[in-house]
Amino acid sequence: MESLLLGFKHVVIDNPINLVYCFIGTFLGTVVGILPGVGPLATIAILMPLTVNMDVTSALIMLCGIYYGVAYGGTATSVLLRIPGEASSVVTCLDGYMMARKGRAGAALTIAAVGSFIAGTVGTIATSYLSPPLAKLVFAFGPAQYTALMLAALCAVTYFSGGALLKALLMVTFGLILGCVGADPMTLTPRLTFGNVNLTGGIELTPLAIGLFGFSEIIALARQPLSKLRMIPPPKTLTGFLPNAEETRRSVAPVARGTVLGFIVGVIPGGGALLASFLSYAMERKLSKKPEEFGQGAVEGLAGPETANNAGTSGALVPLLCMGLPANAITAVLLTAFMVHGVAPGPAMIERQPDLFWGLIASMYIGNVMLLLLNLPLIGLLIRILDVPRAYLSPLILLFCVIGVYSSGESTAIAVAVVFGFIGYFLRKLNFDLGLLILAYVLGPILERSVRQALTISNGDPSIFVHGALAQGFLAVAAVFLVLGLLPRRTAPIREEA
Amino acid sequence: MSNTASPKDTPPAWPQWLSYERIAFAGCLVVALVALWQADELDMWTIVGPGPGLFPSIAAGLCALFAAMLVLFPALGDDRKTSAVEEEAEPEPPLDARERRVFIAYCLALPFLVIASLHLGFVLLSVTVVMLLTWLAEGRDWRAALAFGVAAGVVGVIGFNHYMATSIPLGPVDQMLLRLVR
Repeated sequence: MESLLLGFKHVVIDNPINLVYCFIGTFLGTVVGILPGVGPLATIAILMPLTVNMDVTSALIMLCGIYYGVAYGGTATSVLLRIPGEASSVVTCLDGYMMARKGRAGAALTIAAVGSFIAGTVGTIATSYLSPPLAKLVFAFGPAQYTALMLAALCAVTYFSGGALLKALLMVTFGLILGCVGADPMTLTPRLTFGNVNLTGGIELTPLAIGLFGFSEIIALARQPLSKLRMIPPPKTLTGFLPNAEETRRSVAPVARGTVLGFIVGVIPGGGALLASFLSYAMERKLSKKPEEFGQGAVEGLAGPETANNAGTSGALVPLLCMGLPANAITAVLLTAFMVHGVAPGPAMIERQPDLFWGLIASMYIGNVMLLLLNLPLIGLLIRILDVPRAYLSPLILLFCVIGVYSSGESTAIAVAVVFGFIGYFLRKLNFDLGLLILAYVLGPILERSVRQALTISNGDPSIFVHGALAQGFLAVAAVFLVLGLLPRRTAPIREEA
Repeated sequence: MSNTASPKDTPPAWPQWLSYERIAFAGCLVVALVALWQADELDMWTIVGPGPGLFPSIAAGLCALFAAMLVLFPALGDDRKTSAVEEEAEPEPPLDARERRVFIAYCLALPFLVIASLHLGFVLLSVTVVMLLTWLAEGRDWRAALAFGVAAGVVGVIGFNHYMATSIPLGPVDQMLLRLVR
């Protein structure tokens, strides 16, 4: 508790400018969540090089604000337009939009925003209490255990990606190869550079991420036929946002369940907000006495998944902050952002930089309040962003991408981003999971370091990786996920019934 | 009876075994084999422990193995067999002439960014890209597009480069602008 108060003091009293950055982050997160096609990953990647000259705490507060703010913004477009602003809001389109069509748009937005606020706040409380003890556990890990943990995480992520296992593994290994390009960190020998000096520094994350998630998305947007969006207008008065007694009663239990489920799923590598929202929807439908109402505006079908996706977002920060282990592609980019600022998330950060760690946690409490305020009274205004025509929006996004990429490596970086933009577009069309590629690219060098350290300790004896219960346990988990990935899964069709 | 041929009725331009998926898998296989060949030239083991070639060899070897399996048996990469969520595939509608023009313009704009960042500087890059996309491709008013391009360029140079000290491509026009504000 004392540490948390220290964090609040650091953010609010010592450096009040952090509040501005927290607001910028949450505001950008909401906007990115509203805009289809511009994801949090590309936004964080664009802004990461621009924050290099900023104070570490301010920069990380802003980038994390984008990450957890996105889940709020995506709700509004799902409810009012039936367009998911980001992936984890897909389920909200079903019952949220139907509630809006029945004239309950304000109630739907409030239930989603309040549920998200509760989930975000409870998730942050859980993160602040779980992180220090979990971080201490990491001290028990040697390089071999850490290797096994990362293998288990990668296998879990490939399983939860939902597609064919071999395709997912192909993306993971492709990402690992990309992570190897450049000078070897230990011997400085150039690797996979084909003698090209420009590649000695490796492929930077910013052009790779902007190419795969920014440029490829712009090409995909250009293929979409233009159609006028039909929006259900949000209420004009504050009272119009209030849910009635029946809606409030029906949303209490799904919010509670969604918070717990979402947080647990978020902590699991590969879980995150998307899986949390789908699982919560399935669970609410199963538990409901009137499952036939799902897809036709059931309050439970909105409250549960919306809460779960925010709790999942908070949960995914736990392995990142405690162990320096990203649970998904966005936290992988956040990990790189930490590293760019010379911060290694994990036990060392909690011990040596308590101001930063607790300041970040405190900013999440504040950020959730800001998001609640942004997403209720101001949502009608914010959603007008969608009125900006593609003809102006796309070039603007392109120019932002150019600024972000150029500052990480000038014209060469832009060329790299363009190449990966086309590769990303092609792979995206063929349903490859590009998030896995980014995650493996970021985890690759950390995994390699652990593998090499372990083999150095054991004098090249690979049996070190199966030595001890911890490593064996993690490898068993990895094997289970690989086997599960090979089995055909039961399909859970999600269709609109109206 | 309709005489409109559906996409399924249209004869494929190349043999059916050469699907887009297979091309992608084959592309990954080539990349993996090239990486494997490069990694093979590096030391696997040095006097201080594992060498720089060990990890890339393992990664490239596994990538080649998975890609080869998918090239040989593309059905192993069929998402519908394993997906936990049943997605109803919606065939992409064919593009009309205007939409095709827009798509091509966006595709051309990307490589243009590389050339423009090397030679034009940010303001001219911004104006050219906006004119290409907003006016030529999307058919908006050229004056509005020009004003938008100039404004975006000026904000980029003064806002990002001058005030936020962010590195952006600078050409003669940008230098002139910067002299005005310094």
